[in-house]
Amino acid sequence: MVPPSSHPVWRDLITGRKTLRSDSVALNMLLYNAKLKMSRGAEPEEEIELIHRAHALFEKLEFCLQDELAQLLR
Amino acid sequence: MLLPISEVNRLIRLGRPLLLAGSEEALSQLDRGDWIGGTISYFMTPDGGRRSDAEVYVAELPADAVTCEARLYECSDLPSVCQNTPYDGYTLLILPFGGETHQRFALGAPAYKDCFVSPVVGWVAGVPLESIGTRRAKVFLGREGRSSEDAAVAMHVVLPPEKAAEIDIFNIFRPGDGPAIRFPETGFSAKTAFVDEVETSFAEYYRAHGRSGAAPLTADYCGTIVNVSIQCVDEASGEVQFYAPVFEKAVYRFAKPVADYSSTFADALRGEHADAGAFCCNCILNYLFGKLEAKHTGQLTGPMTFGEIAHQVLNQTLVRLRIVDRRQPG
Repeated sequence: MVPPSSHPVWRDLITGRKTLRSDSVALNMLLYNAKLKMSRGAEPEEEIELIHRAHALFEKLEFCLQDELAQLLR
Repeated sequence: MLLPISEVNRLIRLGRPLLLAGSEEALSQLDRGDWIGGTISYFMTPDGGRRSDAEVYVAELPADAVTCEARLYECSDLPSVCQNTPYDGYTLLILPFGGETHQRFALGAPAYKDCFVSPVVGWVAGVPLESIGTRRAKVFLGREGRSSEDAAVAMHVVLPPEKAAEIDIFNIFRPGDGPAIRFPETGFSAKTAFVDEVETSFAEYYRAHGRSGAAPLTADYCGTIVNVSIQCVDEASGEVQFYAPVFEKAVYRFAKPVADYSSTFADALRGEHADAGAFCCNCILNYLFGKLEAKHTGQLTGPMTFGEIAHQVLNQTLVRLRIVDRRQPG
């Protein structure tokens, strides 16, 4: 089950504190671009938007991101 | 599949939604109908790489697609491409090389709302190699019999709820052992770069280290390797021009050389990876540097393009769209 977007793991994911191994091109590109944006100094509202994007991708692709979900919650 | 114009017109008259690639002369002879297209004369075919100005590459939309909507995007509308992508579906997008939409999408797509969540796949239309600089790439909206050198065309495809669109890529390049390279600004060109954190003339670095255009810059996107290809060094401005943008703060390395493109692709596209998918394209630079004319690159067919779109614009990469079953998590 995908944790709610308020879960702290999403912030860890977009800042790179939490890393995942994935074959999903969409997920890898999303996370890399999120980390780039965070490294350039994202505003708080941009950070929230990045978290929502990562959460939305997991919600949509939950059926094929089971291994990534397990890594996320490990 | 590559088809003669008469056969493509027959399919158009049957009312089938189509994605087409061909020379400007060929696409201009097609009937109005439910299709989008872009100019290109180079293709991966079952018989290997091939140039054809008289035939048209046809990708039919999946038979179980619920709806397909073709439309043209002017530059100002481009950020809505991802938002207009159906939640249960995907978008096929064609951008004309060198046009404003090409530049804007390449630079801006990663920041578009719903980019990466909504599968946008496609290619950058081009021109015959001998016509670079004298002719412009074009995209076509078949329904209106309209073509453009600046606008983009898209086909928004709705799939049944039990299906999902998945984009994957095959990149034969891997980062080399050279220094990390960062660019001070996002853009299609760079005057300077930080090579191992030392600010350097990038053109001088490029020349001094004997790099060739065959080896792209690579960036490791969390395990997915993304290429940026070198177009040329502009001697007047001292800038290095790229076929796709480099992004500020991203870390790049020149790729390791690839000895045999044909066998590397063929090896990568065996077994479970051999599926031709719903759409596929490969890069004209792979065709050129890999001398792929008449050489096989696996079973995948499609246009050899001036840029590939897998959520964002890529270079020297084979891109494939697959329609998969949306399995419910157990």
